[in-house]
Amino acid sequence: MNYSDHNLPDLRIEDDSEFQEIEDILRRLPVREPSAMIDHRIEALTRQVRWVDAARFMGLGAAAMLALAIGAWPLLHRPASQLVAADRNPTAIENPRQRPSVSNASKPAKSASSLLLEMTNSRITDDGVVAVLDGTPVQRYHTHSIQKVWMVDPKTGKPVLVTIPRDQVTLRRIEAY
Amino acid sequence: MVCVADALILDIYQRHRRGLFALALSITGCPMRAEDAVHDAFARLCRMDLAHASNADAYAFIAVRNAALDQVRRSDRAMSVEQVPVALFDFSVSDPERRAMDWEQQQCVAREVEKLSADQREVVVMRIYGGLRFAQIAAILGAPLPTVVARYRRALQRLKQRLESIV
Repeated sequence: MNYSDHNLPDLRIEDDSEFQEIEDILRRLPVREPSAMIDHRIEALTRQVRWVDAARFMGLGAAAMLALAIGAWPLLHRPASQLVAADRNPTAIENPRQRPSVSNASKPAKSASSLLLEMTNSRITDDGVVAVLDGTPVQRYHTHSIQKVWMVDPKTGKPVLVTIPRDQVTLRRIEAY
Repeated sequence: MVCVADALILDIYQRHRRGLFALALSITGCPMRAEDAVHDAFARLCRMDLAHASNADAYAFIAVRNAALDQVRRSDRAMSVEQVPVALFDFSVSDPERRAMDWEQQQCVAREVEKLSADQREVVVMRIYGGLRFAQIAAILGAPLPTVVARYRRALQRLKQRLESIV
């Protein structure tokens, strides 16, 4: 049955004066009241984080994690040679005396596809104005960096740590105002 | 933070707490079980989307009634000793004004309400203490509207006759 307030067959049944007196007595009866405890329990129920909402947040969190993992995958699986090439600054002037050298005996193979992890620590020092070219002062920056690459040696199948120390010198014209 | 749906549920409870508890108590006959039934019902309502329900008040009464019936079934299975049902009305509350008026009449009517059949009593409770219309009660009980009205009239007829016999 599904009756609504608008489709009552006869509205007169809602106001039956025949039983007015007994209805009044019934309304005056001291009906037992619910305790304050149940009020607190219901309020606590409505304060709880709803399961559906929690599940929605968990789903969003999982989707974000998945997107992050997919985005990070190509970065983590780039060959070491590409990483080195990408870090080269074309505008930088490299110091010919200090070439990058590999501390480990096994130099990373160019086609290394089993890169596990790479970490680079860099320190940039400002050497100040070191020269004047065509009347424009030139400032020199020194970049010292150590790149560590953990990878699997394709020949032996063993994990290898490759350390690549780098020393870059960058000269920059100082714009005059 | 209380969302819209939770605020609606809290509002339904605050408006009908007396009627909902009375309905649960009239079914279970035990205040603690009645409160548990109300709690269970509202826990269920919190998981539902009542924001778009056309008759959320009726949903609350349906949920409490079903939870109270579940409580009765569970207690029937668990307990072998029959418990004395707690009365729906509490005359232990000292109220001089109420005592002065029609104390005898009220006690007589209260006793008769307890003696009504379960069907008639729940209609009376929902109508008087829940403030529901007959159409809503019919929807809650899943019974035809004329049947509900007839139950109510029979119940009140009986109470009236009893009262007239005293006076």
